[in-house]
Amino acid sequence: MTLALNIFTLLVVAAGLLFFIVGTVGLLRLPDALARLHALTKADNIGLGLVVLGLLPQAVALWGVLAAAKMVGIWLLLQVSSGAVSQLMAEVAYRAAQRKDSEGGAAP
Amino acid sequence: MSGILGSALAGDMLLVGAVILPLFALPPLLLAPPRLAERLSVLVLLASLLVALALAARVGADGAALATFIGGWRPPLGVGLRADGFSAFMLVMTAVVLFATGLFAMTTPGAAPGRVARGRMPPAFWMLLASVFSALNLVFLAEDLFTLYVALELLTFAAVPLVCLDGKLAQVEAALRYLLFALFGSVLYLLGAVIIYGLYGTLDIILVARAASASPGFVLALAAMSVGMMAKAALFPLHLWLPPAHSGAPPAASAMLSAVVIKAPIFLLVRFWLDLAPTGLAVAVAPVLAGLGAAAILVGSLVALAQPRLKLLIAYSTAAQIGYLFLMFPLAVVASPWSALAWTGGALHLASHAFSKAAMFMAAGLMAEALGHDRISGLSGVGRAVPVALVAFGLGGLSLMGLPPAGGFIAKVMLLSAAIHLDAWWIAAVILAGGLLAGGYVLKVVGLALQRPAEPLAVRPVARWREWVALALALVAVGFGFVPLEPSSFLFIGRPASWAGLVP
Amino acid sequence: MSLLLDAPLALVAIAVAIRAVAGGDAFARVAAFMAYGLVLGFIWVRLAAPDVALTEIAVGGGITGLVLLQAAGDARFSRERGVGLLYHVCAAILALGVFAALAAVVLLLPEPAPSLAPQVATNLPATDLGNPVTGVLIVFRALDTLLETVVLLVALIGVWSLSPDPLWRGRPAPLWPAPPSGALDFLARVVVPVGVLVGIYLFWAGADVPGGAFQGGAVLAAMALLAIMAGLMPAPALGGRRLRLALLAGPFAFLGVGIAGWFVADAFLDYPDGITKPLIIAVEVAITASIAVALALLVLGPPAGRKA
Repeated sequence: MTLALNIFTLLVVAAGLLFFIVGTVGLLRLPDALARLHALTKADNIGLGLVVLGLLPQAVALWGVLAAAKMVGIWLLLQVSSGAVSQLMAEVAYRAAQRKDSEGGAAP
Repeated sequence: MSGILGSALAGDMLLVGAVILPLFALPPLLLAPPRLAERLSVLVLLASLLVALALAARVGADGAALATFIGGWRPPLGVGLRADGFSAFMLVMTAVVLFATGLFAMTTPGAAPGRVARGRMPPAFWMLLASVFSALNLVFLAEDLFTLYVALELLTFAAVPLVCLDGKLAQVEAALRYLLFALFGSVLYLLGAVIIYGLYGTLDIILVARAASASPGFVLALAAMSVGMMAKAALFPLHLWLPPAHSGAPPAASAMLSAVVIKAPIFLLVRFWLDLAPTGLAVAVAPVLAGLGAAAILVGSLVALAQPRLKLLIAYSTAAQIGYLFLMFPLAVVASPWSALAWTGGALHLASHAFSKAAMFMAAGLMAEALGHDRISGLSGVGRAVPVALVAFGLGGLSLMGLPPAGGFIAKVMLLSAAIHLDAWWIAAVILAGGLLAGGYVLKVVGLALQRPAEPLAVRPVARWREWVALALALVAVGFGFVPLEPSSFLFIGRPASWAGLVP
Repeated sequence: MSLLLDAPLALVAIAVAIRAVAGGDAFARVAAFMAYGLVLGFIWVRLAAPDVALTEIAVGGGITGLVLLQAAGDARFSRERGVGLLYHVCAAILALGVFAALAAVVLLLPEPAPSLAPQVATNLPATDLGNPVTGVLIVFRALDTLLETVVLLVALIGVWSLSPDPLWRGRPAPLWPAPPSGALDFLARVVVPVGVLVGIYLFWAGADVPGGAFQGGAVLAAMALLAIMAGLMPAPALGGRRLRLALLAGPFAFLGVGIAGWFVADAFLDYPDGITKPLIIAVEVAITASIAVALALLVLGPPAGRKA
């Protein structure tokens, strides 16, 4: 049983890390701010979700259900804040891009 | 309750009260109407002065240091407050100067609220004044290196905003520079305190002094703390922040900053090198401190001579005058009967400078208020407008020059005779040269002020009683000239054992 | 294993620190400074000092970063001062000197280092507290903590003193001239209640586990700022009596308990037996409230003339 849970943890956490790597590559390689944010938040949310999911059995085994619930709580809070913050950043970036466009159109 | 316990309790209350009482000016200043709050603040200052006097009287009567442990927890776990003769001396000096500053800054009693708005000090001034008072008392009483750090932080955060109370851009810049120097000093101090804790596992000054040896780590800690204090005391070459900060502040704030605030780091340097450091180490380092002090006297005085504005001149004079306190170190650390005299002279110089400098800044502020400017070239005839202020300035200057009968004279005589008997001729030469230079810049101002003005002066009225406050401080500075020319036994009460036997 | 964790942490700390001082865009440098606070927090966790870690992240990284961000966004401060190469060289030499001295000291310190930790552990039961850090802060070194709360109050007065005092009844200027945003509003509505709970928990738990008045107060301050930024509540009027009482509550409740110590116990700041724990909690409630209000007001800045 423990072995099965350990294997589950390893696999799911590894999958989560993969999402982090993809998100980071996206952050570095994608062309503009909006696309980068898009890559980052999606990957972070799923990535962290998988890491938390993978660690749940370990947390329950070591510290009990309360610790596991706290980890889920952390994930949920991060969902909310990273979602909202990336929305805010996107608004700023979008407006800046628009301003640039309208200035570029007016110049010639 | 037995009589012994009763008196012990009272001593405890005096020590703690000196630190916490000034803080009780804060609630009315935040909650009550400004005029009422201002009056209450002055009352709190007066009460704090009385506590300081009672504490000094108690130390003098007991002939021993007064000590207490906060919450009953003894060091090294807890922290202690302790007043020896030197602390009590500093407490009283600070309390008198700050109370006088409060009187000087007070709005004229009975004046209509609207009319005095021009010269009124804002509530922030009174809150900062009360905080400076508490912080200084803690510096003088704390027996624990970290409590001292808290005291220094409180002092910094209370003193820096005083510089830019008027909110002009140049003042804010001066305040920021002061803040950077002061924080730099705090960081170095904290670094030294951390090293000392790492070495000896305690922060209590007495316990550290017992355990300390001139090990490399301890030397490094003392060096870091000393450089930090030099930055805060504006000792040459770390003096660059002082003139703009002290000259830009309102007169009452300048008086407080120049007279007592910069004495706190100097007091701590005395604690480090006379109480904390092993004597051999102190003897080796003292000439360095004295060398910097000598440079401060010469450079500060020469630059002061060239200043176009009165308040800048006085500020540079402060940068010069603190040099004398550093000249004291090599004379005071050696084991000789003359070191006690040098030590008394240094303490006396510290106090007479505090009183005379506060008087001079107040007088300069009144002159500037009367004339609307403080350009030295335009001062001619100001003696007719504010005669009492000019007398205060002149008497304060007398003490700076070291002419009899002022306190500066007797202090310099003590330092000079100790220097000559200890064969420190260069120190004697610097003391004499500094006196001549001070004479130059003081007489330049007084001479101009006494002249007949070229054209009738347009003079704004100045509250007379504020002139008298300045004069009273200057008279105290002069009054120090009548202390007997011998080591003061009060200053040695409760000093470390290494001092025993040096006092007649 | 621990080296695998610590070495990257140390390298990241150095890298972020270099980014924070290395010139360029002020905004990016402040962001690096805030990241530096976070990394330092992790380092404190690795050094088994979770109390310091929490404070570093909340105050060093968070609140201080916010103040710096505002300064960076202020046009009056963002003009770069031309400082010469000499200045940089001097600063570098000074920093390296301090570093070398520190390194030397670390090597010179006795091993094992003398410590008061055993004494604290021995005396902790007398305080009814479980967290030794809180024991040191509120009991053994109560005077230092008391005066630190005063320092915070004085720092706030220093900030206010930048405005003429007739304006002291007004409100601080808005933090950001940002348009209302649905996302921010949503974030604030969800996070503020949770954050307030966390702040209160941090302070409450501080008696027995890592946490305490400073950490809890910082979180509460951050929540108030978030609510103000999202427009859920207005910036407070600084003349308000309740606000000023909240500012005074911490230092003066502490002072009051300290003075009472003379009469009901043996000394100033001595807690009477039997009600030690309730008294300490009462003092901590007051301190937490004052710290929260003072930190939030420090970020909001001096009072401004209220723009019509």
